[in-house]
Amino acid sequence: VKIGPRIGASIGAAIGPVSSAPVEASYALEKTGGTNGGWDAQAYSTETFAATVTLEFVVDNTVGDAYSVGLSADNPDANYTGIDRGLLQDNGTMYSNENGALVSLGACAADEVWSIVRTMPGGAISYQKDSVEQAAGTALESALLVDSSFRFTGDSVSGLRVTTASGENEITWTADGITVTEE
Amino acid sequence: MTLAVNRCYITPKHSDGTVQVQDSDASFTTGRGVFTLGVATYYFPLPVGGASMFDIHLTHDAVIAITSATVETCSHAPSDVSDVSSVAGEWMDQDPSTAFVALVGATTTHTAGVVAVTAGNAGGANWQISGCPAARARLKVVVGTGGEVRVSFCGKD
Repeated sequence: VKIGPRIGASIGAAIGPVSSAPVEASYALEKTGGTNGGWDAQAYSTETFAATVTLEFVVDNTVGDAYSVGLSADNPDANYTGIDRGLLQDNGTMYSNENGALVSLGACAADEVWSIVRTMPGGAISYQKDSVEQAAGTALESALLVDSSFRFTGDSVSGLRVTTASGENEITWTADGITVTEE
Repeated sequence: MTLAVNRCYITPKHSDGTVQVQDSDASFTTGRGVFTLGVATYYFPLPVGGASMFDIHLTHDAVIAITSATVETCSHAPSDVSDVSSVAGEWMDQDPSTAFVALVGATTTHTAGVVAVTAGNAGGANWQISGCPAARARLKVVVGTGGEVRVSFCGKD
């Protein structure tokens, strides 16, 4: 009788983490509103991430597309210039995008997985294609939300995932001109 | 006959190798595939991908003056000859005297397939290339007065 609670506590401590199912949270974003050709559609997260975080997405299409997906300390507007550390795809060329300053990372193709890795402490930024670094960005230590900006109707990304040390994270989206679908 | 390369917009490279970004303030409808070119030489690498026949469609605004727009081919490897090479003999002009280019625009003309545009009229040019076994192709555009263009490509086996 006396040792029961101790055993229960011990078992609970041991089982707890093991029994919690990992979250699988993947999203597709597509521009369905706003002006076709204007940088006026966006989706961004309520959640912010203060620790090491990876944002990845799959390129759906390249022909004529123009969009940017990234991590930001704030969300001043729907334009891509408001994204602090992002990737911008423009008609088959991928760029790093730091508040509108674009640096070419080379050609991109459909089905490639591109990602931004922010490592803490220090806030180092890495822009990656298929888990291989293409360029280092400017470090940023702020808590970061997920941010995006889309230009043309029908432009889309899929497989968007936000991963931290605890696994994938469910995102609460605020969308303006963007249809967000949980995959 | 199959579609070797789906229709696509072509992103130009400045002669210094810089890849251009679509114009965010284009005057064309939607602006998709539209690039603003300054006074310089630009190269539009065409994804021929083995297509033996292909179509190149250039639309220009009324502001731009194009000194020349020329289809060029190359079968050397990209690792040896860049998309923006201007070394004599590396890229070959395709300018037969019998060339036909469809044109629209009062000041859009061609001579042996080389298109020129005098500023003042919007218009376009359309090259239809057949029987071309070259591994690579590009459209070289020399701009005299800056303006906007949209270039599309479609290839077939």
